[in-house]
Amino acid sequence: MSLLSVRDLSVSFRGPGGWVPVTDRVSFDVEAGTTVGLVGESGSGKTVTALSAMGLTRAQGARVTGQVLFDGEDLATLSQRELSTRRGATISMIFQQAIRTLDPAFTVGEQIAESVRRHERVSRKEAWRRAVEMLDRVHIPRAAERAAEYPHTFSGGMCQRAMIAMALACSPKLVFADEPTTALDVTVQARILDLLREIQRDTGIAVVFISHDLGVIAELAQHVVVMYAGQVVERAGVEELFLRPRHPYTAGLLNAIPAVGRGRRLISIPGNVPAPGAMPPGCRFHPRCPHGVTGRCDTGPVDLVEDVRCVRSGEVPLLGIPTPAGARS
Amino acid sequence: MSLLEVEGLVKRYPVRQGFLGRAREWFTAVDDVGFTAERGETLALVGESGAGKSTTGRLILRLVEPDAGTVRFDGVDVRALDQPALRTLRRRMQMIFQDPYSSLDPHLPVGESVAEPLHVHFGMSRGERLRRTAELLDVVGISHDVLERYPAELSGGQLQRAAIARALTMKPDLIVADEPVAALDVSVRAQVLNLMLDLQRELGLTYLFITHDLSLVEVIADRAIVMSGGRIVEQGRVEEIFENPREDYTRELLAAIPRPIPMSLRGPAPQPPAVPADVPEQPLARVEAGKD
Repeated sequence: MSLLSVRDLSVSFRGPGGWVPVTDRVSFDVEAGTTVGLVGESGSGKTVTALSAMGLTRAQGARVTGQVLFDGEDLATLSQRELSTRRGATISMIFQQAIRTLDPAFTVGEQIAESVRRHERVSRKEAWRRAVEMLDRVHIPRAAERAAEYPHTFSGGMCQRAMIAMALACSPKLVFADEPTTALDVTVQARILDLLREIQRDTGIAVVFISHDLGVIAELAQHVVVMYAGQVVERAGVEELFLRPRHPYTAGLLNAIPAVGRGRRLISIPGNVPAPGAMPPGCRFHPRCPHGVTGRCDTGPVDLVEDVRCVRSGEVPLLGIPTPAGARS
Repeated sequence: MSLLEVEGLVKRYPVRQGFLGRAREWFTAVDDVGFTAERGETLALVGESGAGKSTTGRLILRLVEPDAGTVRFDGVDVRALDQPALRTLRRRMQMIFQDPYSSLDPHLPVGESVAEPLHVHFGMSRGERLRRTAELLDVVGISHDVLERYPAELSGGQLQRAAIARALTMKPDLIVADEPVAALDVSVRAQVLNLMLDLQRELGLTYLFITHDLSLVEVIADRAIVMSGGRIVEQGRVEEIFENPREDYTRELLAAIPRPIPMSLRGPAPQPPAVPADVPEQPLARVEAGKD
């Protein structure tokens, strides 16, 4: 049994003219100790899926259907009170803007200690000791001193480390990492990705890594779930996905990564993700798809068949990354 | 003559103020920076946050006053100009910022923001402004209905295109682009970079492209200047820097670029080709430099 099994998760928000569906029957599994990359452009429904899996959109009045089976328990049926004992303790989340997620009025150590005391019956002193230990573990130098400092004295990368320390302080089994490196410098990003790999190796935590950038996904994930306009459009192992993408959107995302070979134009995906409530008929990607065919792609809903949502699956040649390590030369 | 010549540029900020506001300590944000940019080329300024690259960009436009050094734009000493002359010269040097959500006025329809410089600098009539704005939106590839809409209604990619259109209203020679795609999705990033490349070819623009991400430099720039701690650590042609970086710092920046290759497929051992040879439809811009 998978550690996390998201089944047909659909989320709607109340709009001026009634309920607006934002995600549509999203399903994927996460095995213990592995990393799943959840990838797609802004507006694909990645964050809503993660927040809903943690019961956080229900708290805001969203309508959520489907199952979120975590460790044999359906989180979607739990009350907010029951969920709050799980969040942070067994399932946790890291956000993009770490500096905005930390409370500027409390020291970094206090905030980590508080999350420990929320879930475990430990003394203040013990909770503080754990906070310092966690900061040390995420490689914040002079952790004991830094724990007593306020978030504004931390750089962007340091804040993200503190955020990771907080998310992991109660040894959860799974963490959702929502674009945790997007706001950071490339060099800092590389160090945070190293840190996540190291923690996963040491603790066996499962990670759902959310990003718009397949280049970052390649650094961490074993499995990839590609989302577009609120739907899963492709699921595959990471090697399979990069070498042989089966959905034109996946191929488009791969092609858009800036070149390491110079002088050639980037291949962009024209247009924008459609807004919720204004989905085109048929395949939601067809207006932007280089392989869209009138009469086939623009009629009727397209189902996810064998982990790909494309009526022309297998008909059109899609190019993945070249096989690495100079095998062609 | 180079379009832009920068020499010995210095900017210091006081970090601690003493009695009567006299500075006790100084932080040197830009320390003896000098370079030239030729007409029609793209020069990248690369480095981490705090390296002094944005400040350098602002010093060139005199959005921030330098403490020392000279900036010559098309032979004119920018530091010697009075405010009216500087305003006139700035028509030819425009800036694009990282966050398109904050660089366009949220209370104005996008069309107004794009047209505003035409009014301010050229005193064009309303009709002329509308016509020119519509032309510019065509150039950057956004539909005209955007004119009436507010920034909050547009996507990041559309807004950044609008910001580029606004910068182009003045028919500038130089555009200082400060992390223009850092806030955008990878797919949209490609759209905006391609647009910048097209505009450069058509209009002969010179770009000073400021970024922390060397992978973008390879796509867009001819030459690069690597900065750290306010100083230039390395500069040269982009191919040279990528193939033969001289400084450890540059190597570190290069190593930090995420490689779009799954971890399990990396490693020293050559892999057998797994992509069937008959599939290539679009060339994939990446990895094996210049070989097809």
